[in-house]
Amino acid sequence: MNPSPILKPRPWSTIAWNGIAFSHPARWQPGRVGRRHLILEANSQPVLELKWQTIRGRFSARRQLKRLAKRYPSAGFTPCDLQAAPPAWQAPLGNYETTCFKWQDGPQTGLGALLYCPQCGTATLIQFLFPSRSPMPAATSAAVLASFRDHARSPWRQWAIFDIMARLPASFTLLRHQFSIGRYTIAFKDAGIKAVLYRWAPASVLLLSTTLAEFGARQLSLGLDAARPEPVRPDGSVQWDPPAVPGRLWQRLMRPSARQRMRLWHVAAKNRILGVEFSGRKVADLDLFNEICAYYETT
Amino acid sequence: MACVPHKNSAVRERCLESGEVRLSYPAAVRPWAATLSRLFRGEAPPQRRRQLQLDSLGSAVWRLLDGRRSVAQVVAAFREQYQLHPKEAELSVTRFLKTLGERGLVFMKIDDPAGDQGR
Repeated sequence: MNPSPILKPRPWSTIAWNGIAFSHPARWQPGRVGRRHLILEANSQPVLELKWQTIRGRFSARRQLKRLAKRYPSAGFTPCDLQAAPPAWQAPLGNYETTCFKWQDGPQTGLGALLYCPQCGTATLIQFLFPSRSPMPAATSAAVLASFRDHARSPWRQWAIFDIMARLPASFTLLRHQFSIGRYTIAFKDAGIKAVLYRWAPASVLLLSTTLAEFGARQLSLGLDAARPEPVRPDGSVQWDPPAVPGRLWQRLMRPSARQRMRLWHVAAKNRILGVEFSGRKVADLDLFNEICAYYETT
Repeated sequence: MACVPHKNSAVRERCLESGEVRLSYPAAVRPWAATLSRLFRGEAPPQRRRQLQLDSLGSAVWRLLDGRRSVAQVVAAFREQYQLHPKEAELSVTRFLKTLGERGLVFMKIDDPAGDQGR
């Protein structure tokens, strides 16, 4: 019997996105980021795909597998139970209702699992993709699966994607997101609160001939007058509390106008600019704003 | 990503005081314009040149094109210079090179270890 190969420890990264979290080899990069869909790539080829959804009512693995099989009509799609999966998968997937599957379409192979968590009602498709002649090491896929989490055990939810990390209350839902070259925007909402996280790079170029306040005023559509005098805080960040936009008279009578706050700061060591835009109707909401800013960072 | 980008030898570059690069390159003459010129002037239309000023990031990428670095190496150097996320650096450099290629400012060569080079 051959001894198990000794795997050198490699750098790993973590993704936490809209209710799920997992670790992966650092050389895998997000290629597609949807609301509940992720594809990671290595050398521009997909290596990992995840799709997840909260299931209301009864979960049917059979129905989900039928849908999945339709994506690979000529690939010999084969479902199997956990016992038939790589042995290294047994322990990580023991807490889920699991159905594994495999397919091969010429030079490409897919090996994955459909997971259902009875605790949170989340069904997740995870599949690893690799060339048929060069299988992915079972230790790698098992390590990814072992790190997989599909529900938060605290009132806070982590968000980590690309080079940003944040922590928001678990009640905040993802409103929209955009990852453009040089600018990331992620917006959340919860009842009467809206929060938007921004990230700009490279700061050295963006701030070459402008101040952080002028840059922020332009990016947040505040008008350049908002940069004079510069609203600089003791820690070097800039912050605005623009006046609330008055609504119709009956709206103002029924409820107070939303309070807004915006803060930008320059992370010189990482050559990034981070920003948080926030609106809420209660004074206490602004305490939450400070909490969000404190835990928003770039890696 | 293994291809090596090469600058078009007809491109002239000038480094401005700001550090940005301004490129000058021959503009393609449309066939109908060349025909009209021959009809009415009896000669081919004069060679015109177009100017393109690159911003600081574009200028940085342009300076990295030395005819030896592959696209992957250009991406790595650009990423290190600006501390960008790997995917961000890859997308910005490849899109920029694609734009330069569409204007005829760069072309790609596949580096053949045997010594023969082709497009």
